[in-house]
Amino acid sequence: MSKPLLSIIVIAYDMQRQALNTLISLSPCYQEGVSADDYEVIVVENRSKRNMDVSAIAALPGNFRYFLRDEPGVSPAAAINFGFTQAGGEFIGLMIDGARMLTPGVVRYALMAFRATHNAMVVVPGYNLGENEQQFHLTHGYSEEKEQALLHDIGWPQNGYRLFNISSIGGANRRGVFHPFMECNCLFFPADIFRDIGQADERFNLPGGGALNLYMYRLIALHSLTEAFVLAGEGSFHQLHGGVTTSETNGREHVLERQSAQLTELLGYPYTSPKIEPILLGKIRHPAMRYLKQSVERGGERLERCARQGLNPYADDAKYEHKL
Amino acid sequence: MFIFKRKPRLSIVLIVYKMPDQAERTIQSLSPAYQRDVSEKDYEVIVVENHSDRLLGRERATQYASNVRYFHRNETQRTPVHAINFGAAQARGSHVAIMIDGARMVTPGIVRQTLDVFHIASNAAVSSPGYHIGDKLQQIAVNEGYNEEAEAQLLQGIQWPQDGYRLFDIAVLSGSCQGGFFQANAESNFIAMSMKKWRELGGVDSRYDDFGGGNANLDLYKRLLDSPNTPYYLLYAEGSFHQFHGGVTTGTLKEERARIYKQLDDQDIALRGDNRSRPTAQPILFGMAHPSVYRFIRHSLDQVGSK
Repeated sequence: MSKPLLSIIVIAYDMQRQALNTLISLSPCYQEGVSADDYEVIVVENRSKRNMDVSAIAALPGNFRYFLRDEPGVSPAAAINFGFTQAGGEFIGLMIDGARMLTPGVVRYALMAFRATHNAMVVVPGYNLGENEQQFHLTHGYSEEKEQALLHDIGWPQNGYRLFNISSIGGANRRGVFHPFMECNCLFFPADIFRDIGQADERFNLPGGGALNLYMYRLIALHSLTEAFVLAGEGSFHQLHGGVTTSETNGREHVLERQSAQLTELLGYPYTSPKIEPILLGKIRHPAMRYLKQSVERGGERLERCARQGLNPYADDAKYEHKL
Repeated sequence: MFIFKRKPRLSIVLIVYKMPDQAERTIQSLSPAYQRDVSEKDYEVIVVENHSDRLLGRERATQYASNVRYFHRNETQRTPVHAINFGAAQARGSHVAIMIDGARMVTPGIVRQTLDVFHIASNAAVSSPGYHIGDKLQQIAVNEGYNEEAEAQLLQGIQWPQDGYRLFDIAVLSGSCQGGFFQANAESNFIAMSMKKWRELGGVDSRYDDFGGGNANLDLYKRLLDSPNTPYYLLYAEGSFHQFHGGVTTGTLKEERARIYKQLDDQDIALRGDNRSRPTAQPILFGMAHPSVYRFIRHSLDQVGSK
């Protein structure tokens, strides 16, 4: 293929079945309104006892390139940077956690945003499969088997928008699309902006990268050239896989404390979600509407609160000043 | 797919007839001083005024910006359709936006976002929802005493034109846009497309020769959205806001209005037959939701049965 415009980097580690679902959701027969030549998917797997089935990836339609790495550490930061060296695209999609399946319009609308402006940052809201946040899955009796049954019930991968019917809103965007996002697990941005922020900072050496994803999201969102878009009718859906913070494990609180401390140290100040105003882009299919309804209610409450307190709801958005 | 062609440039065709004060505000709302993130070079406003005893005139039309071109026409029929086709024929842009009713003020992002969408998809259809200023539709309000003075107070209340988005605070969705943002409407008073598409459609149908053009605007909107290879984008967070001006369907009293509606409908049936249902295209939303738009998002969700 000729050089693609978009390179989507997917990081996998010890999530064989889930990562394959993610790749299926990235294939051009699942993604609507795009052709295989529009994008490539670079899969970087850090070796574990359960590596992905290479023949299954090779059997997928589209441009998948798979790399198996030996990673001495416990963070995906180096894998991201390795993936970035392989990326031929002018634009990058980053999925730091390979366990997130997508809805069928993600690639199409991400490309659309880049047509509107070279400096787009495209945010895809996150959800959890199942009714509850997955860090409490044991409490709620949720398991990989139950999740597979849910996916079977909606006939996935047919009509990928039905993922909304078996999901709950993700922690990174708990209050919906009209609130600042804490982070984004399916994020698109120009390659040159990623270079500007120093790519994935490998000092984030904690398991799963610690708070690396928050750090990168904030730096990209606040880059002076960035124009933010949110795909309110699309989503990335986390599958249960025993991740560092997304499954219910002993010591989770301690892990979060270490992550937070490292984030403050490397950022130089305590983290806050970037308060920027995005352009909402895309069709809203019926299954996504209940989330949009929650979003607009919570967003309205936030704006009222900001107005009462005299706060700028988009204080980090330099472009907002002239809009007031 | 990513060949960046030349920058799109927009020609906005605005039709004026017997509404000088309202049209003046509309032209102000289209000026670069009011529109955000655009310059005079990005677009032009073609004002076509059909002659009447209440003229806007060149001087008032061109006072806000140098990208306004004014044309005064003598029209023998009681329809704007010829004026629209005349105006579009003057266009120097790659794309054209039709505003059939000069009494509709717009919000400050409408020009920038229309250009953005054409940058995404040159072949797109772009529209924005329509509103009526006031707390109810003007065809109802007029029977209860709503008039230009009442409207002037409302505009003063939001300190227009300081923040044009506050128009949402003093308006209701037009009848043709009641269905909200998640489905196609019956028409739009801001309909934009490429000049190529405009020529393919043959412009607005000049057989709509009755009051206000009758259903010519609905027909144009439907033919555009139903035409092949035309992705439909809705600037859901922008709008066009109808000012009261004694127009044919929004400003006449009830009995007279019903009689005229029937007449216009008869002509529409004669021209289009049974093919008059609203388009089925689901819009691609594009825009930044100003706080004042939230209540209309809620309304729109209710309209499509969201729980």
